[in-house]
Amino acid sequence: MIGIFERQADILKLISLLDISPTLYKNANDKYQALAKFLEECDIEADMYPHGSFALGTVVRPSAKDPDAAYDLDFICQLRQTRDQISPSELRKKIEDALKSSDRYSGKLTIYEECFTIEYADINGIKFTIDIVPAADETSQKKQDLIEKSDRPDLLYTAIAIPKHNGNRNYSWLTNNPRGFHQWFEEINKPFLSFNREYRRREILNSNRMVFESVDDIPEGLERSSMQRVIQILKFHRDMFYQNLRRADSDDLKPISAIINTLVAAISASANPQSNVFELLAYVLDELNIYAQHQTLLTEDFTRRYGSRSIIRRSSNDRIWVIPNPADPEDNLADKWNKNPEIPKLFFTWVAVCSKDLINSLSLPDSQFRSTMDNAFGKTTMQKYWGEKYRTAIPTAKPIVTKPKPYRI
Amino acid sequence: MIILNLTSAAEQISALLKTYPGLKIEKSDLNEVRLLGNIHIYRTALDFTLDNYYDIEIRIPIDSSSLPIAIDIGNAIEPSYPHRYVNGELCLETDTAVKLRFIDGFNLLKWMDEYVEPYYFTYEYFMRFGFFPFGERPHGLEGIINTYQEIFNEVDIGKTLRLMMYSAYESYRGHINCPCGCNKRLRICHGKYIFPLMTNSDIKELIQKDVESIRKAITENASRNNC
Repeated sequence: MIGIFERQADILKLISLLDISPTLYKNANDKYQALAKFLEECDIEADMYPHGSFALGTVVRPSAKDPDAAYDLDFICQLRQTRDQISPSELRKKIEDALKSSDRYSGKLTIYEECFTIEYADINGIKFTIDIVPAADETSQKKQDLIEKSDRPDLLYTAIAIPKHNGNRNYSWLTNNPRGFHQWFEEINKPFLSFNREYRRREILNSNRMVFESVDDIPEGLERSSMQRVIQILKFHRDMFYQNLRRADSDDLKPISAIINTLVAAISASANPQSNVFELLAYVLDELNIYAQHQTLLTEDFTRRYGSRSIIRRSSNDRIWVIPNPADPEDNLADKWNKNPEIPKLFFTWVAVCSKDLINSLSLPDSQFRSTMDNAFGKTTMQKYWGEKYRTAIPTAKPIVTKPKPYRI
Repeated sequence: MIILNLTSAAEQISALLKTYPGLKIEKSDLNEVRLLGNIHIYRTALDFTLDNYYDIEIRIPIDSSSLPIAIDIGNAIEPSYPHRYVNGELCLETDTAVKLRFIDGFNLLKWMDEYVEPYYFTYEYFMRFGFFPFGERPHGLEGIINTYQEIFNEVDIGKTLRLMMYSAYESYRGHINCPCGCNKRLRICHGKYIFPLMTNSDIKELIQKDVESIRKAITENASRNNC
């Protein structure tokens, strides 16, 4: 049997291959900076900055079923104006008109209700898109309101407003705070990033000798801590799991990345920053499996049994699920959970499956480990990256042709 | 009908032991053979692969109309799973569906391949995703009627019951109106589904038993309602 450490290394290698490559990272940075420059040339005074997975260092290929799917990289284009100086529709129009007027961007542009997408041509067979979310600075009054409600007021000075589509090209403002979230995330990630940093940077260099001459050339944005890797693993597993539900509404049921980012970071804040990826993954999943008890226990009983755990909460009276957004006291990331009870049920089912697939499977015999990985990350992906590794001499699994239905008298 | 006679039993059990080397004969007499041991199941469907080992007991009645049964002696199936009896017996399918396969020349290896292994696959899939990959039968008589709905390719329960009655007690005549009540000739309506059933005495006997069970249940239900 191939040892646990080699298995862990193989999973990490897989995830690193699904991550953004140094070449793509540089290319994406060049492209978004060029875009920012272009908008400035169009007299749009704005700051353009990454948010979401590109900013947090948790990028993973978006489609679990398609190993050649494009990376979606998200950016905010924030006007140096507050939201009371421009309407959301005017803001959108300003950026839309500029992009449409450009020979360079108009052909690559797709206009969506919430963002503008620029699609870049394949580079070495890898596609990516830049999604631009227009934004304005939030008003001082609104920021003050948020500060008063928050236990982290220092995060709220960066709050922004983005246009929210209400149908019929009608837009209103929606408060958001990606920079505040980024700051909160970085604070927790910092000790994880510091641990073993030189070793990890050297590993990046060793794998990318054609791109970097020395460790000093490696941008910080390419470093990945245990915490970031845990998020990437869970995101990729989530994509496969929810796709396999074979439901038209699976995208509405699956936990958004913001939930995974928040839960993993909030749980990691109490973990040992010297944990390796799999120690941290086990810790996070164990905690989430404890939170699963919220489904059956009364809030008081949960608190009695599990103490003051409050990353996922359930109110005692109306049983409302709450996952607070650390950078926005008015945002409950679990809003959808309260509208459809199937969503939290599936979420905790998925968490249990993650523990089985990503932790328990590490001690299975080779063939069973490989089958579990095929289930977890998809046969196509596994075949592409692992070939026949861990498969024993047994022929491939026999397909089920007849489809018996279990029955009970 | 006899599911497995003494002559074919030895041959089929020997083939079973060869395919599943973890199984051993635990008990054997003229009425029953019991196999006990561990089986490896390596099956795939719907982008999910089951690759696991299970402790199982298989009871094979000899010269009997009863079907073989499989028992989850390793308690791999959670007691809360709706398709496992309290004694651990796996609820593989309706007897009707399985018996029809045996009448059609089924053997124990195929029984394992088409029912026992997919049962475990279905269980693991259900535990992972929360739904049955190939559906499930309703419990009780509804499950039996549901089996015939599939056989007759008929969604209407009333029509299915009329077709069952006809198949159980009449002789096939293609030119009559179809018992489903659609005013078409039987041969151009449900004829192609019921003809193969009506020309086999074992199957007729099987349908008769199912019709009697349904009749009995309806009578009992009616008398309960009258009380």
